[in-house]
Amino acid sequence: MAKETGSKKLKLFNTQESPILPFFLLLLISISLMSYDHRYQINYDIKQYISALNTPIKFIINTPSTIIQNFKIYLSDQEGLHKKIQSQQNEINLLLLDAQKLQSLENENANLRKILQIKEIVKKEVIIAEIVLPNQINGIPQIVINKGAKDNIKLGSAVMNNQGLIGQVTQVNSDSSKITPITSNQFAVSAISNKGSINGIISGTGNPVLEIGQLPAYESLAIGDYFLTSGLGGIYPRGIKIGKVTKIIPTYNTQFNRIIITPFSSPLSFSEVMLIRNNK
Amino acid sequence: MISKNNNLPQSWSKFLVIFLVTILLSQINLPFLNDIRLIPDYFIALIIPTIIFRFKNINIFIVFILGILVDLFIGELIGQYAITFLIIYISNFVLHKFFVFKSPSQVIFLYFILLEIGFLVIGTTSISYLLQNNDMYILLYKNIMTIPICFVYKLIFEKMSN
Repeated sequence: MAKETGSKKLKLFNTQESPILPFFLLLLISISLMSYDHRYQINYDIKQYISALNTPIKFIINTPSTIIQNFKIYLSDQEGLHKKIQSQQNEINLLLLDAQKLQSLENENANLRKILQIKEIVKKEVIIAEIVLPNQINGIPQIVINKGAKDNIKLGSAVMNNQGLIGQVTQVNSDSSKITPITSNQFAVSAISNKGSINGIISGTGNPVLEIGQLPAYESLAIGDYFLTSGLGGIYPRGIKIGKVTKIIPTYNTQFNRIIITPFSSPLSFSEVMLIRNNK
Repeated sequence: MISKNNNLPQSWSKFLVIFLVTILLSQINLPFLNDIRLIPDYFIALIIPTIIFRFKNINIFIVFILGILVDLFIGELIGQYAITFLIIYISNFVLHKFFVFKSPSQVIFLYFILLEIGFLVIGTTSISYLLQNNDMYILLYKNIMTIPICFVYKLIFEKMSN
């Protein structure tokens, strides 16, 4: 360790030219860029343009899983496949039966709406996609699907699977899209409880749970109750499952409770998701 | 690293390969690691040996451009890695201004300090999580895997310079 001497002209150990002035200049530029990006989201726009450069990387990342999947299909025996087809056929029959019931209910609902002169429900289009890798970038979790602008995916579409709501499309590239999951701290959705009596805004926390920050303490909510999308706002159709109440935490203000909700959906890589798009 | 090291690999092509491999690695899950907090920050691990070894006499402008490139490929915000790399660069400069890092233990200490500075800057500028919602061990988790990766890069740079 060196001792500083009295001489002001003495350059200590580093003989480089002083980068202090360029440092402050570049620091200012970086902060300006960050502020501008945070406000106007230019990162998303630029990433759409350079997504082609990322395509080989995505291909390399997904290749081993694709090979393993194909290999599994190749090795599966005829008897096993036959059984699988049979069970899926049974499932389809049961679902068709449900669909018939739903059709009659839908017609009844439409007639009632006509009588009561309520606005027609907006028709939704459903697109099926598959979650692909990468599921994280540099330690930040993300969900990427294999459909993009080419497949008519639109920004803001709601994404769900058979378990419940997953998130919303926030970036559309030509052949892939990025989804902001409901657990993201940038996510919020209007929700209604399964009993239909409690409305609230559920928001992501950045952790694997969701929350309603302040719910009036007089509301009769119990652990195990669950929340569905309320349909307000028009992005998410009414009735998609969001999550189950797992904790009710009293706050400093005795009039309100903090509600912790565990989401139903846990999207896995290479699982299917449904994108819901408004047909306006 | 007081004086200019003339034995350094004077090849940007090698560095480009390392950079591309790092982009690839940053998007791959590590086997047997289910906890996402343990995923190392490959770019901080790469930039520290690059700055310490003064690869191609790297200057602050190149460090800034590298940061912007990282932001464009994998970053959350444009400027986040640029600011992190700049602060690591200037910290290295200031530390070298007042201290000598000659023995291996001193160099390891320097690596450790620069890593922590990098994590602090990345952590405080991140928009993907709220600090109050993350447990206090997040820095420890990040260190567990990033320190070994950083020393792997250090070894690669040493091999390249030989």
